[in-house]
Formats: sequence, structure tokens, C-alpha cells
Amino acid sequence: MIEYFILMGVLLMMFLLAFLPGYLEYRAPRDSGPLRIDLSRPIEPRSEALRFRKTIDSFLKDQEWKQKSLWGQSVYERESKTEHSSLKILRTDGNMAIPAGSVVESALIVLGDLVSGENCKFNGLVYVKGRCQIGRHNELAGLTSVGDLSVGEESKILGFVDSDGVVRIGAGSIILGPVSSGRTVTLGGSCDVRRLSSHAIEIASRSSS
Amino acid sequence: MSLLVDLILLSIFLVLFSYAIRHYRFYWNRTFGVQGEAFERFAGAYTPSVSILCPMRNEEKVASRLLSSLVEMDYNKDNGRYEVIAIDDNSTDRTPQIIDEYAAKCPFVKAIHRSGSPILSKPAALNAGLTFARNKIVLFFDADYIPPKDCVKKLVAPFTDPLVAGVMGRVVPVNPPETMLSRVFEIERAAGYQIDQQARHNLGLIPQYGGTVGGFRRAFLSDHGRFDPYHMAEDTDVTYKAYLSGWKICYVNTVECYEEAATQVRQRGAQVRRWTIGHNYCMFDYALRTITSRFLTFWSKLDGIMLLGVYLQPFLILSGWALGIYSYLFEPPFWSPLLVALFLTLSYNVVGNLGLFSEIGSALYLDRRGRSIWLTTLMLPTVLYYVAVESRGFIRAVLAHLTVRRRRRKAASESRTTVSKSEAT
Repeated sequence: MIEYFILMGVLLMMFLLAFLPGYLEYRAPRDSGPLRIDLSRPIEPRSEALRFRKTIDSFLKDQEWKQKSLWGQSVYERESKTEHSSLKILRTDGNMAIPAGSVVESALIVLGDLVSGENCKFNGLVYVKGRCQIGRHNELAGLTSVGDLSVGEESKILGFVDSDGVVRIGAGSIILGPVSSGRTVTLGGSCDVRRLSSHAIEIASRSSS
Repeated sequence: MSLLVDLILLSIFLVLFSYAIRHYRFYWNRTFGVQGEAFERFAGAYTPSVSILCPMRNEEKVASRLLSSLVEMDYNKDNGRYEVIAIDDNSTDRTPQIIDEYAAKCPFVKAIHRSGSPILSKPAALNAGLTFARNKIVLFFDADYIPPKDCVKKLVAPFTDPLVAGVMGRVVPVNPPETMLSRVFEIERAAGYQIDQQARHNLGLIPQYGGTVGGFRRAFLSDHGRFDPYHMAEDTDVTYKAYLSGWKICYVNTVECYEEAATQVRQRGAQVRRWTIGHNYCMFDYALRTITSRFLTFWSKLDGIMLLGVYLQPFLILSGWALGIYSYLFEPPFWSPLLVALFLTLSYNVVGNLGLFSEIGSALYLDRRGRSIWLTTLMLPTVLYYVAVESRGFIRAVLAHLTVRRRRRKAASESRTTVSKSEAT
């Protein structure tokens, strides 16, 4: 007879065991809040670029930068690891000139001005605190600058192009992300642009706002 | 008798199994499939004129919170392009005063007071509000909702598609985790929106308008007779009106809006019973029309029928249990080998029931709510409770439907008699 009671007890325990994790989470919640919704988020055409800038700000506060030399200039490098991937970031505190044909695999933070030669390729996002001048036939993942920004002719940008100042896009360029500016966007001739957002937009020599 | 019982049991099994397959299809699509967009790229670029209707009855605790959110909404409010119509529906607390205060402060807030109205229902209040709505798009928010600032811009974006009659956003319960019910309800809601609605949107099936955090073109509502004031599921009713007349509803998963969900078992039970009766009414009204619709594809028809039958399921489950016990005790099935019956039951328990829970798991995974997944088994008592409440609701819906039909038939025959009498005289 006792065997039946033991069996019943074991069965009951197995049944109750299924509810144990739920009970534990209920008693000592670690995931208690509702799904987080940012109630104050407005739709901002520059949101992607501004979010990237915020991320950059948090990186700049870190002390984990290692100094190294690149194209004859002193730069700093660090690696940021997320759950699924790792990201290399290059930083320079002054101006930076990138020689023609260079390939930059990391994300790039330039705290001065940036000038790139022809046929450069930037596989990471670019942030420039000063002015930014991208050469012809460049390919970029996306870039934002505080100063004026110009993209050379026939360049291809896979993400956003954003600046607080004036943005100039060279003829024949293809921009797959949004182009946004705090002042004016000037398109120099025929370009392939998905979305424009600015106080004023100028196309070639004619202007409209 | 035995054969009949067996056939009914087999039919119930097939219906429930097809729902299990549907759960898996949605789960698979949402977890691994290609995700459809809901015109997000037009959000902020397309800003048609909007009227927002907020029906409120005795909502003094939450009225000002909703109205403040709508007043601060990120939308162009110039030239009457944005108006908020707050409808006081026979309130007996401070709701009318709160509405009036906002109407006095903000030129785009209109106050409507319904007092001593013969029909006290949300659809009736919405119809009253619609009379005053002037704009192209009409959105609806219940008083206990907290819309985020970008909500309206995202909700109106799908109307760039001329075939879209209505839109629906995602509802997220906001209650603090004080009761187990509110936590379980939260994960249940997550599965309903994050998986069910979005998968239907992805697969081009029938995403449903849920009555709030959504809206319609005003022209569509005017053409289709507005809301039925006696309907307990006016949202499902208007959804089917849209699909059966060639329009569609767009689900926008990125429009997340907090709601205060029921925290008491009784409160939740009453809510579910009301939905069950209303939804089953829709099933009686639209099942045949869905099958014969010339606007719907085969898969949309199938989804439409299954959506209509959602609140029939609990009754089928309960009937299946009752018949199963009867059959086991008194009339073993003709394919008797008990093993077959056991195999079907076990396989459904393993595969079928897990369909629903896999949806919940996937929803929590997509929301990155790791530990909430632990709560999944606590759904079991809730499911049993729903089976009881919804079965009762189904029986009430059938009885009410039959009574109404009998009354209609009687009224029709009486009117025919009156006509023939008057013709004779």
C-alpha cells in the first residue's frame, strides 16, 4: 500500500515541479516590469544618427583606449563587446587624413576634421566632431558630423548621412539611409537619395525650402 | 449512439488540432520568417488630419493622464488637423469636469457629454463622438491607455495604402506585478500581439482591429454604418465588415501602448465573457459570408473562419472532455483499441497544447523578457478558468442568438399579417 502513496507523492511532486520556476519568478521577480516603452520618444528624422552619437559619447567616457600609429598619425583603439558581436573603434583627437584606397574596418571617431582620399572604404560608422570631407568613389556604412559635411561624387553610403551643419552630396552618389541636416542639404546633380530631411534643400544650382 | 459520440469526438479532435497547427505556423513565421513592415518609413512624412475619440465613463482616476498624453502628442496640431474628442458617457464622478478643463485649456480638445442616454455602451458613445469628428482619420483610445508621443504618426502611416481601412497597434499591460493574474495576463497579451497579430500581418491574413490603439478612415465608418451600439465585440464586427467589403486592416507592432489590465479574477472573467458573447455573435453573422467572400484568398478565408471560431474552442474542449469520459466509461469507441485513443490524446497533449505555449515563449523571447518565460506554466489555471467562462459565454451567445432570431421571425410574420389585413380592408 505504501508504494502507492510514494508513487502518488512522486507524481504530485513532478506535477508541482512544473510550477516551481513560475512561483519563484512571481515571489522574487527579476523580470517584473512591463515591457519598456519610451513614452516620450518623438519621430525624429535624425534619430538614428543622434542615437549613434549618444553611443559615441558613452565610449568617449571610457578609459580603455590603447594608443597606436596609423597612416603616420597617432590614434587610439578599443574593442567593445556586445552579447552577439564585438566592435572595434578607432579614435583620433585631432584632424585625420585618410589616404586614397584605404579600407577602415573599425568604426571611426574623429574629434577634429576628417578628409578622405578617393576610393576609400569605411566598413564601420563614422563620427566627426569637426568638418568632414569624403572623397570621390568612397563607400561608407554611415556617417554623422557636427561640422559641415561633404560627400564626394559617385560615393555610396549604406546608412545615414547626418550633420548639424551643411550637407553636400556629390553628383552620382547613392545614399541608402536618410540624409539629414540641421541647416541645409545640397544635392549636386543627380543622386539616388531615399529620404531627405532639412530646414532647406538645394538641388544643383536651384534652391527650394 | 456510440458512432455519433465517436464522430463528434473525432471532429473536435480535428478542429483543435488544426488550431494547434495554426499556433505553430504563427510561431514559426514570427520567430524565423520574413517580417512585414507596416509603412514605418512613412511615419512622420505622411500626416493626414486626425480626430481622436476617447470614450470615458467614470474614469476620473485616468482621464487626465490620457488627455495629457494626447495634448502632448508629437503631431501637427495647426488648422484643425488634430482634434481630440473626449466623450463623457453618462459619468457620475469627476470625469465631465476633467474633460471640460482640458477643452477650456486646449483649442483642439472637444468635450461631449452624454447624459440620460438610452443605450449605455462603448459603441454608442463612439458613434456620438463620430458625429462631431471632422478629420480624415479617426483613432480610438480607451481612458486607461497611455499612448507614447510618436503613436499617432506611426498609426496613420499605413493609410498611405488606399486599401487600408483601419490600423491596430500593440497593447502592453502596465500593471505592477502585484498579482499573479496581472503577470500571467501580461504574457498572454504578448503572445496575442507580438506573435498572432504580427504573423497574420506578415502572412497577409486577417489582423484584427482590437477596439482601441487603432482607428479607421472616417469615410469607411460612414459608408459601413458606424458601430453597432448593441454589439459586445464591435471591434471584431467592424474588422469583418472591412475585410468582406474589400478593405484590409494593418497591424503596426511598433506602436506600443500601455493599458491598465484587469487584476481581479472576477473583473477578468466578466471581460472575457463579454468578449466571448460578442465574438460568437460575429461568428454567427460572418462565418458564411467569409467563406463565400470574393475579396478573400483561400488562406485568408481559412484564417477568418478560425479567428471567428476562437471563442468556440473552449466549448469544444469542454464537450470533448465530457464526451471522452462518457465514451471511456460507457461506450468505448469503435476504433476501440484504447491505445489509439490514448495515442491521439497524448500526441495532442504533447504537440497541440505546446503550440500555444510556444507562441508565448517566442513572444517573450522577441521582447527579450528572459525570466518571464518561467511564468508560462502558471497559465494552466488561467486556461482552465477561461475554458469554463468562455464555454458559458458561448452557450449564452447561442441562446441569445436563437431568441433574437425567433423574435425577428415572429415580428416579420406579424408585420406580414398586418400588411395582408390592411390590403384586405
